[in-house]
Amino acid sequence: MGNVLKERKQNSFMSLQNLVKVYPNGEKAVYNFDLDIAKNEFIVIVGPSGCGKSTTLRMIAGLEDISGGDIYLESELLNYKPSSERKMAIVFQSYALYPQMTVYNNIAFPLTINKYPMPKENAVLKANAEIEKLLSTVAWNKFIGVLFNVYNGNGKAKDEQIATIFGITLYAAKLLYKAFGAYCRETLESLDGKAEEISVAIRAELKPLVEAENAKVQESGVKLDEDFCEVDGDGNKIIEPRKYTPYEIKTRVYETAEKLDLIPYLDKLPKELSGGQMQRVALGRAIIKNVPVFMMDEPLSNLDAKLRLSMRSEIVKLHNRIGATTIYVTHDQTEAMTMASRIVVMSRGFIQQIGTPEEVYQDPANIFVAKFIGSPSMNVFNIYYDPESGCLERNDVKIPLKAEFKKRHDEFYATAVNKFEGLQSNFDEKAREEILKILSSTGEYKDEKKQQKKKGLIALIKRLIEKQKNKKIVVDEYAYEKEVLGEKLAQLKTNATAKHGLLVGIRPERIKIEKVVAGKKYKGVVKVKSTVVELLGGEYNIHFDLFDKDMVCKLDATEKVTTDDELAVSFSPDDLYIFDFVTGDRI
Amino acid sequence: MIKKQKRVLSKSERERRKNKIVAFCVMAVAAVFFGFPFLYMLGSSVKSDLDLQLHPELIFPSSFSEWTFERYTGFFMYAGKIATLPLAFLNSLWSTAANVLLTVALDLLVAYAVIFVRFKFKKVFMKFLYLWMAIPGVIATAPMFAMYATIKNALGLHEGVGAYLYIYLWLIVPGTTGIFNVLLMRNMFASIPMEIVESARSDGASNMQIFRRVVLPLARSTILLIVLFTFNGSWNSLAWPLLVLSGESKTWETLTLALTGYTGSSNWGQVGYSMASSVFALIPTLIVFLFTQSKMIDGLSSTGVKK
Repeated sequence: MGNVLKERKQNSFMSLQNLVKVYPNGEKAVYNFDLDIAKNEFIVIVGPSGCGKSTTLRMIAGLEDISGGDIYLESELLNYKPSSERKMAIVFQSYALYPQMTVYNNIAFPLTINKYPMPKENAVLKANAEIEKLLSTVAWNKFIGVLFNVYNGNGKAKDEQIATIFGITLYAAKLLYKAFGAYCRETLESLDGKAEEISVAIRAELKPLVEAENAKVQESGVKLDEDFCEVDGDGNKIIEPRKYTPYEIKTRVYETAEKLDLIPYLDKLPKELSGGQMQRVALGRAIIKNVPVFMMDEPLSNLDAKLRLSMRSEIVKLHNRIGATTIYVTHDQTEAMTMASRIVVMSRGFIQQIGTPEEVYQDPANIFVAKFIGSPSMNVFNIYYDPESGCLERNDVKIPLKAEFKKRHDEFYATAVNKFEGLQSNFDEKAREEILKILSSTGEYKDEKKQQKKKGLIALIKRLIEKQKNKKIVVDEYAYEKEVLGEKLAQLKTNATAKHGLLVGIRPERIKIEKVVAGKKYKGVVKVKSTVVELLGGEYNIHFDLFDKDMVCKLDATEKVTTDDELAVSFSPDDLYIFDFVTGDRI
Repeated sequence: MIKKQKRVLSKSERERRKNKIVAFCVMAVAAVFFGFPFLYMLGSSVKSDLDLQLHPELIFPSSFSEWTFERYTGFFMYAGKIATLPLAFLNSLWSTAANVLLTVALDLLVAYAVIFVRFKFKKVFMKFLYLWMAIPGVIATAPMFAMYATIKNALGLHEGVGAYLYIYLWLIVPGTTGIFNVLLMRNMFASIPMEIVESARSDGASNMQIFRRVVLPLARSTILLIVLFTFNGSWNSLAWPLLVLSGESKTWETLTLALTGYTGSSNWGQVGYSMASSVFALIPTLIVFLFTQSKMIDGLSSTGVKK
């Protein structure tokens, strides 16, 4: 076991191993969350509210303590690291922008707070090399034209302008600016002819600085590589944490803002922005940290429907462009289907299924996933299975199934009964969680079971007295789960042989439906009446009652359908998803 | 020529107008009621002695020749000597300033800890604070004075700078422990969305950085509100300074204490001076109010943060 985990840790980019969250009041929010994430994956954790998805995210991000399990990122254990050292950026549902800061300051905030590891550069020598390169490569009239225009132009921070235009360090720009100072009064034409003179002057300005710096370097015995970064004995750059300079921050903020089209809003306060813009600012604040992992906690649920649609593609594009690994939490299955490279479906703290959107949609592991994924959601109805004839029957409808189903069915129940008997013979905490997981997928979970402890001093004293009285009697804390287990096992045993009920689901788009035309003969169809007809533009969502259930199907809007129209419904047995209602698993 | 037609008001408009008129009348009466003593103070401070005796019923001097400003100069110089009042003014000013600064600092730190820092027995601590609020301050006066006097005797601080500082320590520090202000600040901090702080924390900000750069700017209006409350409280406080400063040098008195010197029956002839001194005493309060009033409503109603 240990070896397996170790191997996983080394092989995957990020590994979440058996994460468990227990709140101080004893409530368990997340059970055994186990997931390996490859680089550049877009993982979407989806589930109804209260299923523990946000808690999981917050545990990974370090905003919530981990009660059990390990988190590895690039083979590094993260459990005990503070949130700031986890190389992750979080985007919150409420944007969490700092209301008193402008957009610029909001985006720049992470850079102004922290020291970041960067190679140690020798500023003087680098500046010298950069100016040398400029003098030798850039056309003279262009070079002098830029300098002249910046010098005599408007605007503050002229050295920064020079640095931006030429793409050199601020220090180099400052030197250049200083050296050029003597010539700024002359006209551009006269300067054009003085190429030699000016370049000599600039070099003369630099020379003493460079010589002094060289002497210093030699004296201290520091080695420099070709980029003028200090290196150690093996030629590796010496990395030292330092703060960004204001100029570096400025360039980084502008770069990020450009990616997100936020340049016009940099001076505004968050309250002056629309929801979509605020969300982009929050994204910018995450991007600028330049971290490998992005966490998003329902970032789109505060936006209106149309904006949500465009931001969805925006986020996926961004994810691809910066090559990040994203963990995205949402309750909206459409977002999960459209954005994810892999989906994690959760319910009641348990992972129900992990898979690509196709897998989760085409091949749901249990009834919960089948119902949750897809819009409109899958039609599920009760039907009887007769093992002798191998047919699904209800009332006068009979659906013959393939012969192999019988084999699958028998195997399924044999293993299920086996497993349950195993659990019953040795009931422990693990078995209890197994039962809870089954309840979480079938949706039978009962909340009333957990009685809230009454608050207050009198209640506390009463509890203590009660405890003292019952000290002798051993209370079985698993009583409820054992009872459930017994019921389920009995049910499974009868199901294994006798005629029994099953849950059968079918996707709305798989139902074949047509309007009944008078006089035409139909074979193998069920005639129903539409109860609600929703026109979506190109197609209808038609509701009708079948097997005492409200069912939905899709129909192209080529002919008009209204409420109470008679419809002929049929479907292929191959399109059916068959679930066992006891365990909720697919057969 | 277009004849101006009188528009018929709708019912709701009439209702609104009626409400406005009633509100205005009530406010006008209240303004006169509260404003009159101030006006009388201002007028009396410029009346001549004769007018003070003959026309106490007038707000302002009876004739132009009866105007005088010698009370105001008298605030600084009295009978050819520097008066004790300016010193009392300075005493009040610095002790109040110290009180305000300490209170704000203490409230900010306590509120930050209670909301954003996890520590054991937080709930017990909060309950203790609520309980503290339930105890009237008067009850603490006697034990506090006993402590004050005992320590003073033990240290032998009876004269000189040491005694002065010791007394003022006792004037300033107990005033900073108003629980109401702490709760005000706590509620303001509680309204800041937790995500903002979490986000800053995950960006790598330390508690100090979060406090200084994220939380503090948001608390500005509440800080101003507390400044106003504390300033007024400290500037006006009389009972405790009266107790602590009794029998000490006149030059150590606070302004409120010095002003009580005018209330004795033997001093009733100094009405003019007492009025002028009161005007001086009013100035700092007015200045503080001018600076804080615009933010006060903000601070009271809120949060300042849109959730």
